[in-house]
Amino acid sequence: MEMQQQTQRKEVLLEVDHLNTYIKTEDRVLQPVRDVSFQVRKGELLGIVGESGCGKSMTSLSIMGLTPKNITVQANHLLLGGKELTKLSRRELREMRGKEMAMIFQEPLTSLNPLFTIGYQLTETIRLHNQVTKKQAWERAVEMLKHVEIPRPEHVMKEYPNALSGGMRQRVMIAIALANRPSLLIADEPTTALDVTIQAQILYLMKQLMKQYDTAIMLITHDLGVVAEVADYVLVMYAGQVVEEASVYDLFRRPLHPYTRGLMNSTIKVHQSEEKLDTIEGTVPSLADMPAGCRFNPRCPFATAACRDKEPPLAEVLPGRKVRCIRWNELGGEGHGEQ
Amino acid sequence: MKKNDKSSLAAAAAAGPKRHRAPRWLRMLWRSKTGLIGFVIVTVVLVFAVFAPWIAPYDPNAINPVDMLKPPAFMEGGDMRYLLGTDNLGHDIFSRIVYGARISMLIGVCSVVVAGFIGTLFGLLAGYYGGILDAIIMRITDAFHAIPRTLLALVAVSVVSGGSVTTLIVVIGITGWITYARLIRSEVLSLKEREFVKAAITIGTPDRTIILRHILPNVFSSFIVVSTLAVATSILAESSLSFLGLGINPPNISWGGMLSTGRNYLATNWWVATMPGIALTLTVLGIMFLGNWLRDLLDPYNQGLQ
Amino acid sequence: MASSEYLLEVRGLKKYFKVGGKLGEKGGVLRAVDDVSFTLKQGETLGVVGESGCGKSTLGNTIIRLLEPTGGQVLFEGQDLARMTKRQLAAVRPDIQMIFQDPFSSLDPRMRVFDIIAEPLRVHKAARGQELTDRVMGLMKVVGLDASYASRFPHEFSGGQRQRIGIARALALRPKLIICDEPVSALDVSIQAQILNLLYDLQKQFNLTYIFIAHGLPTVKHVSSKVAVMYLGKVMELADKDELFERPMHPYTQGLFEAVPIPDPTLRPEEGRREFLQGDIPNAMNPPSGCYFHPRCPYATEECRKTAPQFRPCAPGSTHYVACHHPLENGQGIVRG
Repeated sequence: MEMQQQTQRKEVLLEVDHLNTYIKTEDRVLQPVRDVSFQVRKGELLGIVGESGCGKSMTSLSIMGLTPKNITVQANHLLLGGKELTKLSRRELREMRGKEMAMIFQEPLTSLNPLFTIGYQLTETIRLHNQVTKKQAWERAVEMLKHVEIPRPEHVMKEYPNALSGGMRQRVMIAIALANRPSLLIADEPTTALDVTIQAQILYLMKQLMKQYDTAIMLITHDLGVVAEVADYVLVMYAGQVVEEASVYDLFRRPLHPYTRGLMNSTIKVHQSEEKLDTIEGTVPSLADMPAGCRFNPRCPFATAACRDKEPPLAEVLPGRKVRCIRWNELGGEGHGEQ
Repeated sequence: MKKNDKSSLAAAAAAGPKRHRAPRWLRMLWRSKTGLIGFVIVTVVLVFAVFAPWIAPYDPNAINPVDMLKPPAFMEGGDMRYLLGTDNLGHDIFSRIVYGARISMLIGVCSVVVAGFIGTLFGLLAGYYGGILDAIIMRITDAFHAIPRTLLALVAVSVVSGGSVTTLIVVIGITGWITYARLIRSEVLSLKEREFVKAAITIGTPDRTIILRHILPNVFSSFIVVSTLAVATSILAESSLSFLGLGINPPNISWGGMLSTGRNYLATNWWVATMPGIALTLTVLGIMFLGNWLRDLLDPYNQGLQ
Repeated sequence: MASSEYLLEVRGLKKYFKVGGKLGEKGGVLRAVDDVSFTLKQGETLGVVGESGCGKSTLGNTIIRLLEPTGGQVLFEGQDLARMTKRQLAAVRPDIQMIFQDPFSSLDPRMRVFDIIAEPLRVHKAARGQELTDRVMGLMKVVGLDASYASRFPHEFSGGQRQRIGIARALALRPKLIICDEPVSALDVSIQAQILNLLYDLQKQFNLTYIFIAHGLPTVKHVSSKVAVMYLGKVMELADKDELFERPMHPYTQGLFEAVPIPDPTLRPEEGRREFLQGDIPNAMNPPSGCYFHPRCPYATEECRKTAPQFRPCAPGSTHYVACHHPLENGQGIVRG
């Protein structure tokens, strides 16, 4: 089963090889992302899960070249469709954004300019990368709004962002992001600010557009439920590192890392009855105060002296499955999906 | 080169924090260049004001008919004894600037205390209780806002037939309270919506205690920042009034008065007006810089990050 | 004091906001809480669930009189909170406390942890000196905070620890009722479970009564004995938790269940959409005619468009209340697949 998953994977679209980010503060250097490597394949949806401060957003900003000024990004490779992103000039990178890769954020209101109509912002995006007339751009924009299932698109084109609900604004953001048919869409917590019923609509829409536009999606979320609903492959991050990587079915059938398992057990399962919630004890370590050895060891119920001593590597322990834990094999993990 | 850079960053990330001896405010001051400039200027002016008799080389009011209208020492025809030259009565301009700092600082600081007290009181009442009280206080500030401040002060000073330092402090203070009232009110309005104030209400904390314990300490940093800037405005207001002859009367020395005297000689002996003008500009600028730096320093989010 | 079997009895509570209407322009009325009624016995928890703009937080704030009610009664141990004077209210305050959503805004940034937790005790002169210290330390222990944290400032803590400080403060006066306004929605998943377990344990330990406000059904699942589902200011369905989770009767409740992502990819729908609720939440200023939910409801009929359904027991004598013309016969809650 695991072998099959592996061989079915498609061509690599994005290759991230040993990505590191550093923040220089006054008295030291912090590292929000540490040796992160992964691939996004064409037409696949890669879910990146983790709690606040795990480095998932910083990873995506690094790929887009949108990190804040005080952050240094280093990587052996950041290859998108064969192009080395680390070697591009600012101008070349800007041209890549929107055309080859696009991003949507958690809060669609702050991503839209409140002073311009939806139509203006959408046609601007289209005209930025395409030689089309205003009229053609307008028609394409209306078409885009239809694709993201906005009712009465001609009417919405003339609206300002404030007049739209959160769900509608996120649809508009998706339309803007996909307007130039990028090969990679990065979605950073796109449904976190939305209500549950709207979240379900947006997730489904993204999945549908992914097929239609043949776009790969990197979906960043804190919610394992969301990952289980839509992802093909999953990266679990903790304290700036990848701790586990697997296909979504493998991951939920048998999580290998104690953190992944803890996260699954503490996620409330509305559809099953259970008594008390399992928890992960303690709190996420702060950047300035990372534990030695395995970064999860202070919260891990299975930690041994060896875990405190040495940082475990991210190793491919089963075909297509990587985990950063030296005891994964002894723990015999089982997911709750298996019943 | 790049490789090198990389390993050094990684090594630095692996290392722990460096130790610091200097307190936080000093480190922040050192990093902010404008803050440092402001700090230096304000310190110098304060030293002038406090130690004027020991710093000034001459009695600022000593008339010296022999050395009238001498240019500054660095100019042709200048005299080394008079660093910044002399005015039409042979007063040493440098000595007068040093003494003038006294009046400027005294009036600047004291009037801000007056304005700050009145403004904070009204701002707190308006913001916390709202309703009718808020409406009345805010309409009064609107009315004050509609009249130019200098004009208002001008009228007030002429009514009390002006001149003394005390009247100037009171007049400038009273005309300056609206800035505080508005600032404090808006801060209180946003604080009132914060959950810790709601929590205090649900505990049953009396209003007085909420205002004193939760609201005042949290508006304090904005209060300090605005106050520094208000000192600058007050100094300007005092100078304007003195320039118009309604402020400080001789023999008291004020930069505004010096400007007024120098105006008659602007075409022939420019330094008489320019030197106090520069002193005034630098002081105001320095205070502004200091105020901006204080805002960064007192920001609790900034504190959390450090 | 009138004796009553209920600790809290809310009858027809309303909170309307006037919006706009200054300088002669026509203003509107926002019915944030519209005719809400429920009862709560000591030791029970009412979970209040709904999406943004449904009025759930306004409901909490109105019960505790952070907002003045527009109408209705809030009977706490038989006394009507809604009609109390400020002075009478001050005497009841210690019995009703609140835990807030945002652990970064609910603690005064310029106070130390000790003073934050001690504040209620000081205000009510409940303890001083050594006794005060002992009680604060005791509270910190109860909520799982290390005693060494007492002299620190809130910004030195993570969200979960801050929420524990807020809980300790709420417990200080030994209240009977605690209104929890989305206490875990700002926290990380692994921390949410810790706080939910803590609240559950505290309830057992101190026989507390909770009103637990949340935006999703999963969060209220563990702590609630009853659940109320709100939509645009109205309660759509109110029932015992098990009953509601097993047999939701309102199509909206069913929709909320359907929308929760299931952390199990094998239960993923093959093709075709699973999402049950179409469309957006309407603007509360301008709610739809008839049943507020009808534009999104797959079962809506002409009757739903015209007349608003009554909020009533689904069968005579039942404790399962629903406001729907066509309640689901066999709605599915928990178990699927």
